[in-house]
Amino acid sequence: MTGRGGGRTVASLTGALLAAHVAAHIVLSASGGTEPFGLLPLLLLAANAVVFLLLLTGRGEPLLGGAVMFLVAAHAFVGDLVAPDALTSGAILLVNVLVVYVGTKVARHLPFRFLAAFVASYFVLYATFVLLLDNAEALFLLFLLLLCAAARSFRLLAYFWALVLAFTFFQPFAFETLLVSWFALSAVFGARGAARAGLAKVFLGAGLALLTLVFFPVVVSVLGENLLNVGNVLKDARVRAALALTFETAAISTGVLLAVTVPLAYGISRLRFPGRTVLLSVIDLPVVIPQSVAGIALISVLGRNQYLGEFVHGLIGVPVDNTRLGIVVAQVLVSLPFLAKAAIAAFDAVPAELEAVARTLRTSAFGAFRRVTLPLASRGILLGAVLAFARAAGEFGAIVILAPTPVTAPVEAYTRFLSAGAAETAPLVVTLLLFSFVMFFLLQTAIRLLPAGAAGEGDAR
Amino acid sequence: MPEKSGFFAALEEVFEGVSANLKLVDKALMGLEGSYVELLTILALGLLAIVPVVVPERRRQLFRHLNQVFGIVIFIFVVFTCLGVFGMVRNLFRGLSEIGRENIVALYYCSVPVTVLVTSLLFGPSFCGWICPTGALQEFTGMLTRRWTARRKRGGWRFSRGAALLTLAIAGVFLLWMAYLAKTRIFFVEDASIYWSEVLVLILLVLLFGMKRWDGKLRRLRVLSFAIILLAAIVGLRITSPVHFGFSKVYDPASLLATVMVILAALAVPMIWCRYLCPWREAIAWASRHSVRSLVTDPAKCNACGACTEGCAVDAIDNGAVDPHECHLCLKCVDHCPTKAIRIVDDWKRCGRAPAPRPAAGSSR
Repeated sequence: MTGRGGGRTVASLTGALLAAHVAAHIVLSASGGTEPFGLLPLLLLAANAVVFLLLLTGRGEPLLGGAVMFLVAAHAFVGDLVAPDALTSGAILLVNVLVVYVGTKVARHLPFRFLAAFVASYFVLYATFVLLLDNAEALFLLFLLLLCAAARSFRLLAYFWALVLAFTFFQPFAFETLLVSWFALSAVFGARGAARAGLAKVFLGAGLALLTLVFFPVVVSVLGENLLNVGNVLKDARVRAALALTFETAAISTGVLLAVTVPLAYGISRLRFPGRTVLLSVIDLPVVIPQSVAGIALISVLGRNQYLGEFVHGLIGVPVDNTRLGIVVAQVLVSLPFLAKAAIAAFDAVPAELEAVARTLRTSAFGAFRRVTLPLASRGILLGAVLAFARAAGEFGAIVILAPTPVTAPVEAYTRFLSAGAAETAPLVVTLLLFSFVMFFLLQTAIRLLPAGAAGEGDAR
Repeated sequence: MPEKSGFFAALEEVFEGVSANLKLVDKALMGLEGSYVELLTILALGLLAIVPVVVPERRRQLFRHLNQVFGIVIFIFVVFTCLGVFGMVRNLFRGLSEIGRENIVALYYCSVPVTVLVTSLLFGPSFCGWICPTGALQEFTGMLTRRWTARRKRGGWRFSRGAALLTLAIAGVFLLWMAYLAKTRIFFVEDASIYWSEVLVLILLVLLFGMKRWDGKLRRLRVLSFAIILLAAIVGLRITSPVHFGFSKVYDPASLLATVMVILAALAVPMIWCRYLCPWREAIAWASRHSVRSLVTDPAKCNACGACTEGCAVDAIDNGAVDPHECHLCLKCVDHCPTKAIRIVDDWKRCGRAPAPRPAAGSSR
C-alpha cells in the first residue's frame, strides 16, 4: 500500500467513500429520511472529511482510516436503527471506532492468534449480552471497552474474562469471584522461578483452582457482610470478653508449650533412645484423634469426682473443668504436635558440629544451646509456635466438653449459632475470620523479619 | 470576629449562588436514552487517543491547556456522574454492583472510570496530563509561582523564609476557615474531604523542611488514600472530594474548602495533590505501566542537559529516564528536550514490561 500508486488508490477510494457519504446525506435529507442540519449527521460528515484530509496528507494508516470512514458513514444512516437517539448512536459509534482501531493495530503488530482471540471474544460477548441476555446491550458496550484495552495480551485477556464471568455466570457472588480469581491469576502470572517454570505454573494454577473451592465460603461470608455490622459486634461486651479470653488462654498455652516442648524437642532431636519412634508417634496423636474424643478423655480423667481431677483441685484449689485451667489444658493437648514437630525439625536442621565448635571456644553446654542452636532454630520454632497459637485459639471440640463456661470465641459462635441461626451469627463469624486472618498474617510477617537460620533458608526467598 | 464572619457570610452567599447553578444537568439523566455521559466520556477517550499525537508539536502545550479547559468544562459542569476523584472510585464500585440488576445504570456509573482506565491502559496516563480538572486547576494556579518554584527546585528545595511564610499563610487560611465552619455547621462523614486538605497542610509543613528526604516516601500515601476511599465505597460512606462542587445542587463548604486548599498548596509545591494524595492516580499508574504508549529515551541522543527534569512538574524524570509510575504524559519533557532524545512510542507488544528499569536477575532467555 506504499508508494505513489498506493497513495493514489487510497485517495480515490476514500474520496469515493466521502462522496458517497455526502451524496447519501443529500439524497436522504431531500427525501425526508434524515434531518439535513441535525447535529450528529453534520458532525459525522465533518469527521469523515477530517479523516479524509488526514489520509490525503499521508498521516495515519490507510486501512484504519478507510475502516473508520466506512463506519462513520454507515452510522450516519443506520445509527438510528440501533440507538434510541443521536447521542447514544454517537457513543456506540465511538466504541466501534475504538474496536476497529484496536483490531487493526493488533492485526498489524501482533501474531495472528491475538487477532483471533480478539475477534472470538467480540463474538462471544455479542452472543452473551445481545442475543442471550435481555436488556444487556449497555453491558456489551462496557465490556467492549475493556476488551479493547485487554486485547493485546493474553494475560490481560485472562483478567478480562475472569471479570466477565464473575459478573455473568457467578453473578450473585460477583465480587467474591472477582477477588478470588484475580488473586489466583495474579499469583500464576506474577510467578517467577529459576527456569521457564511452565509446569510449575500449571501446577500452581490447578492447585489454586481447588483451593478456590475450599476458600470460597470464607470469602463470600467476609465480603457479604457489612463492615459496620462487624464493628457493632466488636462493641458487644460478651464478644469482647470471649475474644479477650481466647487471646489470653491461647497465649498462656503457647507459652506453656514453648517452655515444655522446646527442651523436649531438643532432646528428641539430639538423642537416639529406645522408644523414640513410639514417642514421636504419641506426639502426633492429638492430630489424629477427634477433638470430641480428646475432650471426653480429658474430662474422664481430670473432671470433677475423678481421681486426678480431685487431686489437682486439692493441690492448687482450682478445678479443671469449667475454668480457664481446663481451657488451657485442652488447648495445650491439641496444639502440642504443631509446635513439637516444628521444633524437632528446626533443631534437626542445625548441625551438631556447630555446637561442638562453640564448645571448643569454651562455652558451656547450655551456653552453646542458648547462643548457637536456639537462635538458628528460632525461626522454625516460632513458625511452629504461631501454628500452635492459632490451633489453640481456634480449638472448639475439646474445650466445649471440658470447659464450656468461661466462653471462648469459638464456643460463643457455636452457642449463637444454636440459639439464633446462621444469619444472626454471620457478623460474629466474619469478625472471628478477620481477626484470625489479620493476626496470623501479622505473625507470619513478623517471623519473616527474624534472621533466617539453618531451617529458614528454604523459605527465606 | 463579627467583621470577619460577615465577610465570610457574604463570600458564602456568593459561592452558594454560583454552586446552585453549577451543574447544567441538574438531574441524573438515567440510562442510554438522552444521557450525555457516555458520549462525552467516550469522546474524551477519542481525544486522549488522538489529540496528544496529532496536535502540532510546536504548539503542543497550548493545545494541552485548551484540552484541560475542555476537561474542566466537561467534568465539573456537565458530567453528572463525576463527583471528583473520590466519586470516580465510588461510582466504579456502585456501577459494578448494579451489573445484572440495572445494566443501563451500571453503564451510567461505570462509564467515566472505565473509560479513564481503558484509555490509561492503551494510551498511558494522558488523562492526568490532558483532561483531569483537579490536575488542570493545580497546573493553572501553579503557573503563577512557576518561576519561584523552579528556582527552589534547582536549589534542591531547601528551607527558605518565603516558602515558610507561604506555608504558614496556607495553614492559616485552613485554620481560620475551619474555625468559621466549625462555628456555623455540623460536620458529617460526607465532609471528610477536610481530612485530606488537613493532610495536605501537614505534607506542606513536612516538605518545607525535607522535600528531598520525604518526597518519595510521601508518594506512597496515595495507596493509603485509595484504600480508604475504596473501603468507604464498599461500606457505603459517601465522602465528597475536592473539585466536586455542587452535589445535586447542595452547596458543599467542605469540598469547596478542600478545593481551595489543593489550589493554594499547588502554589508552594506544583501538582501536590497528584503527587501525594490522589487516590485515582494510583489506579492510573497501574494501568499505564501496562499501556501501549510510553515515553522512551534514546540514550545515544541524550546529552544529560537536565532540561526534562527541570520542566517536569511531578518530578517523574530522572537522568532522562521517565518513571511510568509518576508520569502524567504531559509531554513537556518531549518538548523541552533540545536533542529530541525522548520519543512517544506506541508498542503494542508492551504489557507490564517496562523498557528496562530492573533487568530480571538470573533468568536467561
